[in-house]
Amino acid sequence: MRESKPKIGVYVCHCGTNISGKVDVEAVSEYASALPHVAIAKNFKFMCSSPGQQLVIDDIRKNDLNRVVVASCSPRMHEKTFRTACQAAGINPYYFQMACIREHDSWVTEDPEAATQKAKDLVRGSVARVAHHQQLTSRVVDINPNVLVIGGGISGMQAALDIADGGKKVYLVERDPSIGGNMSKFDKTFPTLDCAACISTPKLVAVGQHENIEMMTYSEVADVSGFVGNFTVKIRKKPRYVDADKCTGCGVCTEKCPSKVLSEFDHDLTKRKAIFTPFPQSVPNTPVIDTENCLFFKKGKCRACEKFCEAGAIDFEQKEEIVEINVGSIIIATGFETFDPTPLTQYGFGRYPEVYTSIQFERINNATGPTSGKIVTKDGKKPESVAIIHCVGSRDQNYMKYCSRVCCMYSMKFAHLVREKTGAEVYEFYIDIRSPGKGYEEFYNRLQEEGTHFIRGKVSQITDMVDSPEDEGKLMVVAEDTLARKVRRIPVDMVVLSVGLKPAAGIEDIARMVGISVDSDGWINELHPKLGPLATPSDGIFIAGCCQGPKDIPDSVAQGQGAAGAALSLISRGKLEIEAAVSAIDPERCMGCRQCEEVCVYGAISYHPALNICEVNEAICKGCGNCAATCPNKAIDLKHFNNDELLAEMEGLMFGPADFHHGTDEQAA
Amino acid sequence: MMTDSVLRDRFFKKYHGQEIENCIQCGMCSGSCPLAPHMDFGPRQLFAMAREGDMNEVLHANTIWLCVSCYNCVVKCPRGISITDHMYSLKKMATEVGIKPPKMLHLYRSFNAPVEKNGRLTDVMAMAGYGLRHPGAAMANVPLGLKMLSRKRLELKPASVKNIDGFQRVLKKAKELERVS
Repeated sequence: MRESKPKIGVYVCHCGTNISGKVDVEAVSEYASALPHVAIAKNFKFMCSSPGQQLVIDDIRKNDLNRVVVASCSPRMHEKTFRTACQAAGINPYYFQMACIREHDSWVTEDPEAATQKAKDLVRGSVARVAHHQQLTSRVVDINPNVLVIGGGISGMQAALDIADGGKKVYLVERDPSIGGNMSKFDKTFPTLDCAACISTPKLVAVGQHENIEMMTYSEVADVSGFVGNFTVKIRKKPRYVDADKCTGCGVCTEKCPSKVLSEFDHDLTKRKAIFTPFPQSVPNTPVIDTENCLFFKKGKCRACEKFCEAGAIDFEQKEEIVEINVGSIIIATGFETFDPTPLTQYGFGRYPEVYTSIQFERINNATGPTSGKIVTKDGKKPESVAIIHCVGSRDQNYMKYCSRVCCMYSMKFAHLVREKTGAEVYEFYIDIRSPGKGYEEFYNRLQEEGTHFIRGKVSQITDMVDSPEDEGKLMVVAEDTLARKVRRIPVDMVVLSVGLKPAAGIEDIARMVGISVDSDGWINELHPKLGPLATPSDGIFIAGCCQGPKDIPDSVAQGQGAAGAALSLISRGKLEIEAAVSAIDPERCMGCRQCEEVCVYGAISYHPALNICEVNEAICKGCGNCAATCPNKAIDLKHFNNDELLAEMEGLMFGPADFHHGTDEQAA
Repeated sequence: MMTDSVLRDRFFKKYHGQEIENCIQCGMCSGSCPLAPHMDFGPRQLFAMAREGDMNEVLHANTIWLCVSCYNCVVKCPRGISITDHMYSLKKMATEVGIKPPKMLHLYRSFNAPVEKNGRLTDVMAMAGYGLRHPGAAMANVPLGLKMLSRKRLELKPASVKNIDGFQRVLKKAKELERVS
């Protein structure tokens, strides 16, 4: 759209003394007043203040200004402020340009004369640029009020409940047959020792019964497309082979099933049937058939479950289904899995039966676990001594270089439970005790008072080669007691490896689908480590709990609630304004080479095979300019950063007014 | 005798000992070390002393000479520190600054001499080299030697690698490079 001749107002800000302490603002505004197309040039104490903004508004109205340059701080600070002022005065907000003479000049230049010269140059560049600015309008789109939560652990459940309680519809997708996640495997929780099941089971039930929550268990996210406010998600529902509507959850099928395999929920300590629910409090309580181990699926014979099911719920004909849903926001809460210590051969996991991982030990302590909560060896004997080894896989650059944060605390919880249930001697082998949290250090002190042996040293070996015959059958734990400065060899009956936390498998696929990244350890990158812990660089995608890094239960719950709040605040807006400074592809010039599609990190560009051209989805585009720089045919223009504007700014920066006069008049006129 | 700070500087810079700054003092090395019970200080403690500058004490410790290069500690070190390499560096520094070496040095040298000459180790030559300096120790080993001989586990004739010239050129170059560094 052609406009009348540019009539520019230039405003130089003192920013108190932040700018005027170094830059001669008077000289800069005077210099600006002589630049081409400049009608007015002023300087003012604080341009961002109300009187400062009013100055701009009044001048626009009185003098028919149609372009504005403010020379002050970074556009990150106040670009929006002045755009709004321009809009208020009745000119297009994109007819504004900011010259950064604080961060880029007064704060970093020693010599006042040089600083003043630089300020003049920057203003000259901005004046030259603003003459070429075009009117842009931002679009407004509707926001779908539904939310998808990926992962049904404690974080995901909490997020789903909060959103559902807020009156919005939630889809909760969980890939296991039941929601509950890792927390439902635990027995007690540190440092208060409340029972994990007692506090988490009500949440499972609440999620299962909530009218606003649509649970999709035994399902996985297959594809995500769209953009903030308008995501389309494909969910792959794996066949359970049990009709959830007919099943009463009586459990006869499981009872009658002849096929037994190691239980994933009990981490191989017990066996489950081929038709099973992972644990007694499972939600939903509908079993699934594991086709890899079901005799009917393997050999075509059996059907015992079908025969005994009175409700007739068994359905061997079920097929995988792809369900499509539309949501405005997505919360990722995929959680963690525990490190497999098999590669640390010095600890003999898998070789010595009495070496357990911490998650196995949780199951041993749990009333629904393999020993109904009794701490006994595989021979059924009460242990006399137990070693707990910290930092297995964590803080080790051969495996995971980070601290897993929760192991010190859960290890001490184990020590307490072992002392309480068996009276055995407990040896905690630690490198450093990390107990930052409310009541955590006090719990450590309590353990010391209970007589737990704390030995500072990483265990170097576990062996069944005992030193004396009376220890035969025990395991020797070898470590340097670094504080007493001697190598200790301690015979024990059981060893618990406090294994670290790592991101749940498949997290990279989810991250890729929604266009976000994971760090070198595989955890999802948050938007900002301090001020954006739950947001991601993809608008509308939030994260909660351990998918971002190891966390304890209180933090995971807090993040679940936080992410729910963030999602609610987004969808409650109802409408979304889309930034106008996005790229646009000229279909006449596009030759369909798809190089832009490849370089777009936001997935904003799609290819139309029928037309052999690429198109930009403005709602996803962030205006980074990758595509514009890549396009070999110069078919892509980045609005507000197009070649005219950038070249004019560069010419303005590099040459004096006499030179950059060239080209301005005929193009802008 | 050089001051502790000069020695620490030399260990850190010339011998890349700076890596021990990464040590988290977990004790995995000392716990893994088969010789730790005989050492004045375990490797963990030795490094704690070295980084705080107790270098004379470090270089006088028997630790560095008792290391048998089994690499058990290196494999398990959670911070990836090349503990064995640092033991070699410290041995080297100890001889450089003229700390009266224990018998172990002669043993090392008796091992090295035949390698330098023939490109490989021969038991008899190593034993002869060491025995000349420490006849008592040599005599004590005679019964073991005889036993090994009876089981044909003792090589009497010094053997050489096929391309001894090439091997010595490699060795010469290595020494040259070491002088440059």
